Amino acid sequence: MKKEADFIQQLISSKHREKAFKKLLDLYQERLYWHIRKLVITHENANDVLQNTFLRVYKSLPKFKQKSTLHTWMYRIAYNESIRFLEQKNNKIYYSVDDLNKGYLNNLIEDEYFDGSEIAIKLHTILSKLPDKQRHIFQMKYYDDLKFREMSEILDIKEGTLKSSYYNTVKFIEQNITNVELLAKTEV
Amino acid sequence: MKKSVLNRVRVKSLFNEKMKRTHAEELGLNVPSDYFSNSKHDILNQVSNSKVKVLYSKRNFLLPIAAAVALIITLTVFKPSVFSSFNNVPAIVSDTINKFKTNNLANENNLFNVEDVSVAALFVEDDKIDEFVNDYVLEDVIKDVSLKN
Repeated sequence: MKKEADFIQQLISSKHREKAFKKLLDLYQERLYWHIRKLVITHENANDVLQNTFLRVYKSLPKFKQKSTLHTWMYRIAYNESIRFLEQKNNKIYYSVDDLNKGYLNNLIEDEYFDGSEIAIKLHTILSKLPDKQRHIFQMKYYDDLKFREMSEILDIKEGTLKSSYYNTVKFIEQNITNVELLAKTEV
Repeated sequence: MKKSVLNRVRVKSLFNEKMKRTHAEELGLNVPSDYFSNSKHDILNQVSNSKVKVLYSKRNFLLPIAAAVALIITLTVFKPSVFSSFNNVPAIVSDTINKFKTNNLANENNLFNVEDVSVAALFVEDDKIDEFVNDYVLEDVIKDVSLKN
């Protein structure tokens, strides 16, 4: 914890800031990219949001009050930036839940950097049926390997609610993974 | 010390590699080659640009203040008397003053004699104003009568 406090001090001090920020980028760039990518789907969007996230982190560091860990704080910023991005985008394009589901799959399959196997497309099809928040909870736990306590701080949801949402999603995926019709790229 | 740094780097790269593989295999999500090193470069560029912007806006704010402080210091340290030109009276002005003095045109009494009664009344105390007005009126009446005669 002391090490983290020292590191934060370096990030704030004008003398060590540049070097410390490079270190922060090394530590978090890839994991935040994957976290964002699953939320905003396409690589291009993820790249934009990742840059915005680090820019916001850089600007907000002097105001960071250390009420949470740096790790949680970074994820929270990345999550909020992604949601802000999606809200702005969705306001322009989508009108109904069905449209949103179609949007999820369309965006995914049209993305140049998506190359999913049959099973991957099945999984995405199931995930696209879930409410946004429930999908985010599953992805954060299963793929980002975040602790429920950390997710609770990031999403501002009680740990118990997160746990029940996660286990319900796992059950839902298990039940549906064999039943989902395979969606060919051209059909979606 | 170096060994622990190396271990940390190895753990980090293993973790990143695992994440990349999981996302590619299970979700079909890929990234362009060299994406992360290019992206790092872009982010650092953006951050340094934002730093320049912040400095620039601070400078915008500080410049007028610095200019004002410099002006105050100049006026305080280098008093006007320091500049010899301030003491040089132009020849035409000094000639006029000399002419006034030699021809007795600038009589001190005349200059400070208040002719206008309304102006003079401004300098009279409130409780003595009636007396002042009476004196003035009386004096004025006597003067007028004597002039007529």
